Amino acid sequence: MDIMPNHKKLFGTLGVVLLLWFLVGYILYPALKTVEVSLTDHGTISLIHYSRFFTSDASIAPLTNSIVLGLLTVIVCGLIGTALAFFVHYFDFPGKNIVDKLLLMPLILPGIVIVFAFVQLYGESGLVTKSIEWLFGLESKPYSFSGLKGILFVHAYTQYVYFYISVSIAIRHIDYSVIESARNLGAAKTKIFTSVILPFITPALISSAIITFISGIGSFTAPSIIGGGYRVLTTQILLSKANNYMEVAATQVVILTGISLFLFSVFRLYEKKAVFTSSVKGVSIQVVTIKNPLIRFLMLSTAGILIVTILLPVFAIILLSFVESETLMMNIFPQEFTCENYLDIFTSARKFAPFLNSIVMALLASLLGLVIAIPSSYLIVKTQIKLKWLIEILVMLPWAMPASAIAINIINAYNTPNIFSFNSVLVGTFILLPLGYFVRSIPLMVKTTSISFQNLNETYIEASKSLGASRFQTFTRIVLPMISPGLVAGFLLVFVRSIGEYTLSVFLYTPSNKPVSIAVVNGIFEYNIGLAMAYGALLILVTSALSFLISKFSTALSR
Amino acid sequence: MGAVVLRDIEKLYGDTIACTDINLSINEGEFFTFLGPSGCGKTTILRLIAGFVQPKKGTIHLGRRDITNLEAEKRQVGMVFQNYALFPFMTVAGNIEYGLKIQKKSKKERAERVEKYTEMVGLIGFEHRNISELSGGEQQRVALARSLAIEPKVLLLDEPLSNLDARLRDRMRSELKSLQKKLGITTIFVTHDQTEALTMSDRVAVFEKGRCIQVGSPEEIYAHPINSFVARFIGDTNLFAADIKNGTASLSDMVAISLETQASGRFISIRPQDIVFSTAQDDRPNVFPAKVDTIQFDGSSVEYSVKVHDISFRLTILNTSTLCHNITVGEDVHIAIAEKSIKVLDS
Repeated sequence: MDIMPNHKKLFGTLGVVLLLWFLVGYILYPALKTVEVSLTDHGTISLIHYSRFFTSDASIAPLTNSIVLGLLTVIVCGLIGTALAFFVHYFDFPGKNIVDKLLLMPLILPGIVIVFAFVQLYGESGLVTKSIEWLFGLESKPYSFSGLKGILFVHAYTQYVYFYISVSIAIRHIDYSVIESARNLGAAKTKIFTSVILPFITPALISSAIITFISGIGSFTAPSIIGGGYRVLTTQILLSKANNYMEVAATQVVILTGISLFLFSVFRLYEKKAVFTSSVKGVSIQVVTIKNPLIRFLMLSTAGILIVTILLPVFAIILLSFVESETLMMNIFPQEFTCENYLDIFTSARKFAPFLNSIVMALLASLLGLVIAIPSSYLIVKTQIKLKWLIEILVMLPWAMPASAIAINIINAYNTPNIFSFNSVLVGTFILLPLGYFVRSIPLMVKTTSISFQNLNETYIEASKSLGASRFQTFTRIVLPMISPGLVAGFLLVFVRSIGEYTLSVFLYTPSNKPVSIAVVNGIFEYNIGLAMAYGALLILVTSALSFLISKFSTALSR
Repeated sequence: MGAVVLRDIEKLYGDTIACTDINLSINEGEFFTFLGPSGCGKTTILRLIAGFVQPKKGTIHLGRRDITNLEAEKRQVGMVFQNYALFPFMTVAGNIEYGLKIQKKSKKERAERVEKYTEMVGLIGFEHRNISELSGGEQQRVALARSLAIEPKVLLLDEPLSNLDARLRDRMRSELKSLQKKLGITTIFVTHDQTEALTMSDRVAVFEKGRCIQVGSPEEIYAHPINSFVARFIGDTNLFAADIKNGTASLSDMVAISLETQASGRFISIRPQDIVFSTAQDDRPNVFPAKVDTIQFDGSSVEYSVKVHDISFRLTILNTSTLCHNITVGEDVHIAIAEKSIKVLDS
């Protein structure tokens, strides 16, 4: 706009200041506060916590373990995700689309629910473990599902998705005419793979590797439930916090965040440099149809096994949610089924409370997300204001913060009154958890809402004006309908990610806001497996239904 | 008084001059074209008329009314955008109806107008389609119908044909022109395509670097380009820097062309179709021996490039059934240039 009246400019500036105040107060300030705490010893500035950390074997071991876990997660997920991407997008086989959709499922399932599903399937007295023992008449358990192996197994299931998604996109962007020209120049099949296909997917591999590593070293749920003696940084942070060694916890958080932040910066730089898409007018890759009946059969079986493997945890949760917990103690396989667990949740106010809490808190986080993401993405995408870079960095920063770090940051920042909390102590209050959920999801939310604003070409607004519509009419009739799919998708996305969230919940919940994920864990530890699984099944129901809606809105968005 | 009058318009983007010193008067019912290369300021002027940007100085009148500071939505100026800007979440009818809803027309009237303009652009049966289901040409028709439906005083077209493929572009050109004739609506058309400008316009304004350098009918501009830029931009030409004095233009030490006039200037322009093959016996002025360099056959015509000593000329010969030149590359020929077809230009 060329002419902007002064009062509008003033409102604009005020809005930007408010936004920055909030972003600084709830994202940057808590992180800096943690740094400060880590540098404090009995009220004086000191490096003692760092020197202790790096000289004690007991604290170096979890760091090494975290890094080993991160690396192994990258290798395992890289192999699985890439292989799956090629399997689904390079070959033609029946049921391809279903497999493609199902492979994205681990994205929407709450981590804590998956971990317990795995325990119920592959743990010491898991359904699969017991079935194998029974089938082969084994005396002792055939494998051990705990420690590093167990964590990796869960990670393999939950974190291949980054590789799968980005390699799939890369494969679909391979310009088939480049392959044809390579063949025309006489390249053999292996040569085509190394000289054409591999360079095309390399950027996807590298960026997924970084993201997977960050999420691997930040993982808390699997290590805390099945890690056993395998201690990693994230679980140590909780231990330090539980023992009220906040300075030690802060030091561990700074080290963990430092590694993530460094890698995340590398990722951003790489993302800016690497060319992810190929020529615009290329021919997209043609799927290969296998004619050999034996290979066809093998591929179909693989697809079948994949579907079963992906669905098995969901199936296990639903099955066990209908079982009375007492009978499960006596029988290996469930014998009798009942709706008791669900009735329990919906009739007992005490048992329904966690579910309700999670819904309310997820809603709050999503609403807060909208309030912050809309102006942020608008300023980032549509304006040229000077502080745009700062807003962008602030909203993207939580990408590089593991959930345990976000939790510790919030505790450090809000256990004393300050100007960002209007001079009140937030620790121990209901709002802390929604705030944490919000911080964890704000980067994703801004990304989603940004797409809306990117789609909102200036000419639509001009077209509307040229047809006689006022500013207000243009906003309600054109702008809002065009950006709302993205806003709704972003809102639901935060909700889905928050409702079953576990890590932040462990750190920040109070009796007043006990979320459903904590109720699941308590249920398990009280041997009330049926109830825990009923919570889990309800969570899956809600997240799947909402994810279906998200995909609807996303299609509207890409139209 | 013209339908649209621009007086002394200047517009800056930062320190860059988008356009300056623009004085134009567009007549009622006229098909007026802004022609020029990209970045010449033609779209800026269109956007100034639409009201999307405001000029630094100067005035814009629509009829008798000064609209310089009027908001875009109150100007009653219809616009078809280069990318059409159709609202993607509305149907064809929804798009066409949009402006009428804003005008608070009755349901009955809206339905009548939608039908009228849908029919006018040949989209009957497409009313309930989604925009994503339409081809580029169909989208273009919707955009046109949408802007015509509000029955604007002026229709602005911003390179509307540039996203269409060649064949469709030809067809839309004539459809658009006949529609405009039928409605008699004052139309301003922005393009960088000289063929579009020449075939469709009543008058053309040629722009270069933010300035309007020539206004006239297509025939005038083609026949009497004001400078070498216009000569090159409108139609194909042989343009030479020449030493011009005493009715002779020396292109080099070896080649001198005699002129009809005594005018002075720095360039001469000769259209390729104004040069013909001749014979050594031809005793008119400006007959030169030449050697054929290249031959390009393009169906309706043949283009030859020939060398007269060190100077290359291009000739276009219409491919009629009687064409039996049988000229081959490397052949020695003679060419003749009619004196009256040579334009002398100052800059």
